[in-house]
Amino acid sequence: MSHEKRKDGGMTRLSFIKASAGAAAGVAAVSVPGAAALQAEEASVPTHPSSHTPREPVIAYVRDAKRGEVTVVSGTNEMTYRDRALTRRLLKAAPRHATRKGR
Amino acid sequence: MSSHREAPEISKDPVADNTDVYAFVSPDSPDTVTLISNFVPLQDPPGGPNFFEFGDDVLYSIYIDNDGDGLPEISFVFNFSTELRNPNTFLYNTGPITSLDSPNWNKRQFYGVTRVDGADTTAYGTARADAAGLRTRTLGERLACPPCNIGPRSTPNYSALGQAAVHELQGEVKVFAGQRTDGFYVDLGAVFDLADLRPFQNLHLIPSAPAAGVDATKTLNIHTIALQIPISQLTANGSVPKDPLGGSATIGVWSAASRRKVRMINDDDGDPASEAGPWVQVSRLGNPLFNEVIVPLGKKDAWNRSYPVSDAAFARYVEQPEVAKLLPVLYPGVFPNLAGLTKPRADLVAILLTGLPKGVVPGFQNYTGKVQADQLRLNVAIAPTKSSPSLLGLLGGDAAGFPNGRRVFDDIVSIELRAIAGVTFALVDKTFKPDSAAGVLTEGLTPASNRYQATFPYLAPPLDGFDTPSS
Repeated sequence: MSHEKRKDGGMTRLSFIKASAGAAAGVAAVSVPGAAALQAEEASVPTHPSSHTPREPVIAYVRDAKRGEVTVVSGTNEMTYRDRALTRRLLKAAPRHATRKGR
Repeated sequence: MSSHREAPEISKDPVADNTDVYAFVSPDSPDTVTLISNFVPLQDPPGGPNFFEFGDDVLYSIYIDNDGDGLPEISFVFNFSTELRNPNTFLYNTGPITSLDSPNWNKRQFYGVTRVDGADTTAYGTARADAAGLRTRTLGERLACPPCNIGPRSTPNYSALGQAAVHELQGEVKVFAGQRTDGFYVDLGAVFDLADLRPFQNLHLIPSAPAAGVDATKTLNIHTIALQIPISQLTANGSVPKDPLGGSATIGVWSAASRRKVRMINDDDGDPASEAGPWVQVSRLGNPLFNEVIVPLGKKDAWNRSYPVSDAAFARYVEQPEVAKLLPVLYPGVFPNLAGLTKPRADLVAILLTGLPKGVVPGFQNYTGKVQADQLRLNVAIAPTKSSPSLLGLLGGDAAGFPNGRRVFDDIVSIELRAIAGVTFALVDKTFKPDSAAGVLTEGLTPASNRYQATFPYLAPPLDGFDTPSS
């Protein structure tokens, strides 16, 4: 299991993964890290949104790609994980321009 | 201004912009303290059809530090929600609004109040909350705000309408949230035109004939959150201190506004925006003018995000305030003693960051300890001045006024100008002689009495949009 960094007493990574079906991480990633996990998971498929954006979405963003740090905000909680597999998967799913600095 | 549009980022976010904080022992209920925090600056009364309101997406907080550690042990948090009766009209009201449940009032706002207790209640709603051991208690839910004051046809008898929005909660607590007349008076145009003071502008570097001050906010409204609370519910030990020189007589007060960390602007036909994440402070205010004229431009946004307990980082700006250097330059020959003053301003540090210890002003103190934090410090053992209070507060010999807390009518611009010009430095350094001009500095303004009222919430009903400005 990749290293987990908690900023507060909020949900654990495991509970987050269970709670956020829409997030870009699957339960399989917990026990099968790295490239093997990527191969085991279903590939991301571009699609049109099927519903409105939730009023309180779960949002994950790559904070530091080199360090493999991803921050997830959910409700009034916020956690940053070191998870290279999740980072790679998010970057792979991201449109090309999204990896560039905004300004 | 006191703190209206005082920092680059918050100047673009009016509903979260904390403009003034007041804290005083209630003159008509001296066992209670009144706490007032204002937002949404510079409201032009006719500003419809979407008249001014609090932000449904903003968390408003009033904080109390009752043990001098720079952290709040108590906070009162307010969250608002807006309801439309009829989304198919452009009108705020479709007839006269004569009560808070008038069917003619289309866009109403409600709010809840929660009391939070703990060792550091700034953690409420943040990523630190779970570990902070906070205790919360709902004081009120779905409390009605009054409407804005539209005009005599839409909001007749506004005074009664506004007073109906004073809610009495459990524990003898009163609360009000809604539009009021802005109590803060200032000659904005003069202050920001190279610190010109019209009564003294003949002495300015770029001189012109002396003139009376111009009250730039006298026709503007504000949105007020006001609480009146028994003193015993705010002190550390539940006492009602009677000895002004006693150790537990002073409470620290400040206010803040927070927004969710993430906001997404939606491009579908659902909610216009989605939000997620912890609440993040975007505005705060204790002493008037602190962020406005003490903190430099490049630090103002960071100051708004920081907490008072970290204000030691800003103490150097208090010790060597920029305004004290500008006055001798802008008024040549008028402030020679101030020009020669290079010592750190221990007087301003005391007034703004720690409170005044015993011995500086006979019979008075509002010292809360060594922790430097921008807070209004209110000595609750000092009785309110009911007869002829001085607009100059403690400088005018009236210990019930600023910097002992702050009353709605205190002339804080003149008080702080005189203090920065050196009047108060003589209290802590007997070798310093203030310039004669320092003790008479003024903007030349006296607030009209119709800005205030004698009872809670003490700020007068808002000016109406039909009659203001008058033709």
